Amino acid sequence: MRGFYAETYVNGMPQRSTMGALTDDAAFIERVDFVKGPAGFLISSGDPGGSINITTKTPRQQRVRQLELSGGSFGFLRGSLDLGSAVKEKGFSYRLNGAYQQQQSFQDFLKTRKYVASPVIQYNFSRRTSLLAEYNFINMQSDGGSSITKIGTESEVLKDRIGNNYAGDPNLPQSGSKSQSVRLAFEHRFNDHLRLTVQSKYTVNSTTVWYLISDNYS
Amino acid sequence: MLTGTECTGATKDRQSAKAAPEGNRDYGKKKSMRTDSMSPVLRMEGRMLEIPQNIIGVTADLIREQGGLELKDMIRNASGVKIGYNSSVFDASATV
Repeated sequence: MRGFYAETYVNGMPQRSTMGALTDDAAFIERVDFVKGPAGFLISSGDPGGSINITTKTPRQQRVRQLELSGGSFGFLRGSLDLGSAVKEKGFSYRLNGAYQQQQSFQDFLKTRKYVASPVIQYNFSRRTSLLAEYNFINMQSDGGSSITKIGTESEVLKDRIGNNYAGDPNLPQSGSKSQSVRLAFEHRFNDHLRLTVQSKYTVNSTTVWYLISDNYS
Repeated sequence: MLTGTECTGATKDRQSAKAAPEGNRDYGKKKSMRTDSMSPVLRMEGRMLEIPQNIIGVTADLIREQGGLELKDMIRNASGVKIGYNSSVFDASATV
């Protein structure tokens, strides 16, 4: 961002690794805010270029009922579901998001699948106080390789058809990236100007990557 | 005034709840893709216009209308932000 690297935060807490499908699906993103420039008063840590802040979906003021099916080129198929009850003044409310997506690629052999689930439950003790529990699950699987790499000399790469430049193989074992996280958040609003939020998150990621390395890589 | 605010229930954002009780979901009314309420994540409330910081908010409703699926689709709505090349099919979307 603005020429610098920008850290990504999820609900105000850093969450990103260089590999993996961490909270990167529209199914559980409520909004994304791009803060440009240093902003210590908004996010206590950050980079000079700014930060990216993802807010995940939680129960809304209104009820949510949504089912989406989409398809596209390269075998793209996606189904997603968004269910949620309205926030109550006192009592439980929920939000449930799920998605399945599969897609092939312009490269040969490659086929990816993505499973997403995100149940959220919120309990309001009163109009001003609430406790929220959220679980995020995202699992991406890839058959036929895990990275799009051009191999060979530059002249070979440019000459071949683009699919041939992919270092994958249909017999490679399945690659995958799985991320699970649990968040607990407590919020109390003292008055119109002061709000206390306490939250904590636990994340587990696992990644398996299979790819081919060519002998004549130059 | 156009208000394209998102009401996240958990935060009971007073301003956005007042300004746009139906959010962007009401197709019968005049709709705006602009966001002018602060995200609860950013620890401040009120209108973005009144915050001394350049912030661009992109809501899920806008993304859905655009057919966006991943963070890299959302980033296209913000100027000055770009995703670096990433060869992983799991798309960890490093941002620059």
